[in-house]
Amino acid sequence: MRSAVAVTLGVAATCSAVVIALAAAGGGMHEVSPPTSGAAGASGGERALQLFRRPSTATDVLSRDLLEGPLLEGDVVDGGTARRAQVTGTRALYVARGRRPGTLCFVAPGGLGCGDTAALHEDGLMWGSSWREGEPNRVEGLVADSVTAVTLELEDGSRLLTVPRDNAFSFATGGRPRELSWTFADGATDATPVSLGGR
Amino acid sequence: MRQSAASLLPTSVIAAIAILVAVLAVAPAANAQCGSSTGCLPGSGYTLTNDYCGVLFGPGSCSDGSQHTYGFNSADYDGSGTPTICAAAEYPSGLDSFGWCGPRLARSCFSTSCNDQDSTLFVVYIQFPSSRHTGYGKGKA
Repeated sequence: MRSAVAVTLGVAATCSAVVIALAAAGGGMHEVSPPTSGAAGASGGERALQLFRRPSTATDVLSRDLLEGPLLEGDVVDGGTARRAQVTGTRALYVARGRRPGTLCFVAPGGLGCGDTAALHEDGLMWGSSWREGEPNRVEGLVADSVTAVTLELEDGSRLLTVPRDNAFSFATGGRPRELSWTFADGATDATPVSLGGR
Repeated sequence: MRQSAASLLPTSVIAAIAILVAVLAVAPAANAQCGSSTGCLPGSGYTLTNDYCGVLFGPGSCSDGSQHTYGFNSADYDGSGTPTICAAAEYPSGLDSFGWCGPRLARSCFSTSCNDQDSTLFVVYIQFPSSRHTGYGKGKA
């Protein structure tokens, strides 16, 4: 899936050389930062995300609508691990460990998506798309700590750019999404096609 | 001398309370018509759960084709790899109504509150845009 690794050279500082060497040797793999502190409830792959390394606060508690609705039916997420991502200018977006081992879920009013934590760390990004009559189309998801920017390309060729916050990103658009691309701190990029379903 | 509470109440009041208790005991827990009412609990109103698909397919979609006033849809993929799956609902005309695509478990509701909405017929389906997989779908109407 990785499309290109284009790191601009010319930096003589030792730390930059190390970063470049690691990027080349890793064949496109981007290791996320190791956990630095323990947040109650989070463990393993989640703690590799900055979002889970901060203490839980009152704003992280899943809302009543979510807890009592069908989205979380079947105990699909560990609500005690939930964190609310402070994504600017969008609806509430919560992230929590999935009950299925090795999964992370993000949940918003009216929708939920879960994916493999390992895939998030390997690819750097986990995405979901949603649509509903009378509302904009949305592309939302999670990124590893090392991702610094996410771009959504629409079918008309226009592009939307956002900077992830709390390991999360969210796009709301009247257009139809075509491709997501993201940029790592070392300048490498990756991309994946996205869609809104449709038979 | 202590008296019971019942002995202090008129017979008519006791009868009214008894009737009310009996009515509440047999009433359904959820309001089946949340589409136009207020005060429904989040996610309430559903009277039908439809487990559809199960085994097959892809690239393509899977549905049992039955039309209901679905308000909730779920697609679950348990296999290996990271395919994209979609839980979606469409009108009989084929136009999309609501849905969510994601890597392993995708759930979506017609309304933000996830209450049932008895207004429009939908067909629900799950979709694998890329390769052959097995998925499980569930819709609530």
